[in-house]
Amino acid sequence: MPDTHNTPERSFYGDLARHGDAPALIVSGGATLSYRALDAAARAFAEQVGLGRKLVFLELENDVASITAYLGCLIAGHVVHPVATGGGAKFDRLVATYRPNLVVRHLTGSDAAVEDLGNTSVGLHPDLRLLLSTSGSTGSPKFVKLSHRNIQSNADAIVDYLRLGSDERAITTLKPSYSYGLSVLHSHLACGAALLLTDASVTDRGFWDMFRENRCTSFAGVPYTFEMIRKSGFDLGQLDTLRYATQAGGRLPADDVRRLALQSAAQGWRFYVMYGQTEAAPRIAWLPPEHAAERPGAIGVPVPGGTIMLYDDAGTVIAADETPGELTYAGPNVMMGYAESPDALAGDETPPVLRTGDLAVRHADGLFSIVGRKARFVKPFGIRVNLDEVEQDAGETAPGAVCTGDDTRIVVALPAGTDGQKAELVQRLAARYGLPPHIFVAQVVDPLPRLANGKIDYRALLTATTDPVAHAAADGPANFRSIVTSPRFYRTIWDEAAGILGLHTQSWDSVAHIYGGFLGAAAASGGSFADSDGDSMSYVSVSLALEEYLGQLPEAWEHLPQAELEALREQPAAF
Amino acid sequence: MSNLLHSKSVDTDVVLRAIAIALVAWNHAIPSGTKSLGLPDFAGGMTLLMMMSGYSFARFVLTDATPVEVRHGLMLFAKRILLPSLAAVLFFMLIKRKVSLTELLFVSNWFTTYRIAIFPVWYVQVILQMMVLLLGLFAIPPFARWFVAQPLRGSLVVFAAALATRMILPVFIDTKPLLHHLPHLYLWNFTLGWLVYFLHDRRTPGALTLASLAILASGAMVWGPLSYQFLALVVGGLLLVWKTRMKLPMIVARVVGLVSQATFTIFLLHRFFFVVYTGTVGRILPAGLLMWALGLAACTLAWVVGAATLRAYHKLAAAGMAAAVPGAGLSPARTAG
Repeated sequence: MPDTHNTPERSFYGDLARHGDAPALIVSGGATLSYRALDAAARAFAEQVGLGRKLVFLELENDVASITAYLGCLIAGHVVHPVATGGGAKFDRLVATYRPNLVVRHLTGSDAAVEDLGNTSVGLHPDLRLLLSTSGSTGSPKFVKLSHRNIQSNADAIVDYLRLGSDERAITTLKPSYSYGLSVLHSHLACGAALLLTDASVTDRGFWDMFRENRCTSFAGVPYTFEMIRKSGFDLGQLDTLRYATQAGGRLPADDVRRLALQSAAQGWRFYVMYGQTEAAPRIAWLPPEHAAERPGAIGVPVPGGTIMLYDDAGTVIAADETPGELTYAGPNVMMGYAESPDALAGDETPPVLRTGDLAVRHADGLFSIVGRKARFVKPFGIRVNLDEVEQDAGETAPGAVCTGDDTRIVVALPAGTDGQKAELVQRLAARYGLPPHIFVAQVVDPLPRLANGKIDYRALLTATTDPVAHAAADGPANFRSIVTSPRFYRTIWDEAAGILGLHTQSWDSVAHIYGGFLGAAAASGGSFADSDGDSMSYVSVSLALEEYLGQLPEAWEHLPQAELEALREQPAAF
Repeated sequence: MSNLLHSKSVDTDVVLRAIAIALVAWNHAIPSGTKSLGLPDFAGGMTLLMMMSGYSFARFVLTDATPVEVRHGLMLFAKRILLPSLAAVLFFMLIKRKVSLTELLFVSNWFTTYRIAIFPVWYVQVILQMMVLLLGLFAIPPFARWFVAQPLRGSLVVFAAALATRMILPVFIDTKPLLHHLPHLYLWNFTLGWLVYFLHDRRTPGALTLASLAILASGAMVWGPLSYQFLALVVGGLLLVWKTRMKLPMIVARVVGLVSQATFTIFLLHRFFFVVYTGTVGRILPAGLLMWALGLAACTLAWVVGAATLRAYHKLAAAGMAAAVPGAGLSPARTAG
């Protein structure tokens, strides 16, 4: 049977004009662009940038100009990395590393501006279409590689299980550079439905008026969206045209899922809980609305065309119900692998299955629920870090290094004779993973503690390794003297003062970096500002730093976990 | 440079903090009796600041909190105010070569309006004593459980009781000689911030209107509608309620951000700066507006230096901490330490 997802002609962007004069993009209070007009505009942009295989970094926002540019680049056959505007130094680092041929800038109120950087073309795999930032490792330029087949199959699957048709009209609530937001765009274009483009938030006055006036039928939300709706007291039942709402991007508390499930059933609309990862373009599972009230903690069933399997530690498939194992996913939407350098863009490393790192169980009714994370993942400051990956990175500096950790610190046990490399290693890992250096504890451990079967005893290693806070206390006076007498201390004071005064841009690598800098060890759990002992004394500094880093702060940001705030900028993960 | 003229959206909370502390400094730079300068004194900064403190406290500590978390938040807040204030009090006692036990214990507001410290220490005393009062209140399990379960209703009850205390008690006990600088008489001001926050959090027009009415009514009752305190409280409070963010030219936003971050440093140091200024350059340069502006700038700069030093130290300590663990391998003795 031919794979219909594999031909760009049969794609959501290949022939937009087939939907004729149906509305495609609607600007609130402004123009409506039909599919025919969108097709023409996208093709004109494709001609402007030229056909072929170029690497394009594109600032993508919820407006006609940048969406047209995005579709134009796909039509032209280029490989696109969509990114939110205002990427600052981080975006510049990405451009310096990957040397794209074109950068398409987003200009408010006018066409997108194309910058030809004149770079020599890098090798691009013929199937490669999209590059998205990964979850975790936020400080490092790492991409998920997605093919046309990956994104088209996932868009088709979403159309299928959400029962989308050309009469749907979604209001935008997420940035399209975020994999979840992008999937909303793709799936609606795939079925000839319309999108109302706005940057307004559900908490903005007028958002729901806009929804009503334009007779929208759906919206997508992350847990924060639904929390804000609940806090605002707005009753979704007032929306006569609402047909469904979707939720992804993190776990919504079971009580909220149940409440929304019962509310939607009573009011005649559907509420979908979904699960996924950017690595799956992004959707992996969905919970049929009729099960949401009785199984509010479940992620549901695999999307059409996909399969979910659970594996135990020995790598064996778990057949029994209610037995936890690592959730792995197979389907046409599984990525082509990661890219950490331009060279990796030429290859296809599609894994046979996608190992999510999440622990799940299958219930007797066939629904899956997430019950935890695999032990080799930790979440300091809410950022998912793969300890195997850290171990591999550390091994490049100190072969034989072993890594363990928990949500407050990452311990790198080094082989004998590597004392001199500790400082450089810590700095490198901190920069690579976008975490404050104090999270990493590099220590020579020789010999390594082992279990009776000869395997490394990670638990003993973690327990036995010096606690960084205790160490700082014990070593305090000596450390204090050595710091305040070093010339570097005074240079750093000058740098910090210049940054505070705005004489140079302060370089924040992550939300965790900001919280660690202002709130110290109390922020290491990855909790919200309020949970990390933040108060009115530190509030102004943290809020200004966050604004600088994120661009704009959402309301009630102080109660959002660090990972959710990070998602507002990078928006890499789409659970 | 042109970027500095672009507008930037700023949290109203940040702007109001800067305005409030600037008003406090203004009131001390241009006190009553110097009207010959042609500039009005302007009390009210402290009143606005106190409400903002309560607002922030509700936002960061009382929201979705357990009784234990509230008590922890109260203690943490007290500690963060106490330590720098104590250092400042000791510093002023040292340079003035005078000691007052009641001032060192932050209770002199109950006995006298005289103070050795050259900053409005009464404000710190009132805040610290309010924290003790509230700790006692939240140590009562049924009350604490009831409050955290319904913080809006709880805030309303505590605020109403505090306002009644403020209005009724001075009728029977004359606290005017102490300028009413007592915790139970300022609790209304702090808990007004709680009430405003929880009403604002509802975001409905009705709740926002109620918050506005609470500000107007309590301000008028305590200060009278023709006072600067009332004006500062009402203008600041209504902005906080109805305008969550405001657009400012980039350069103004930057200055406001700096002053806002430096609020507590300005609070502690501005009067000392005025004393030094008056005794030195004040002999040739005018006081008033210039002294006020230079005072704000100098205190903000002092904060910048302090903050930069702390950040630099933490940065290097964190890097050193992770790298400096001796590499002798694991032994029972080391792990025990």
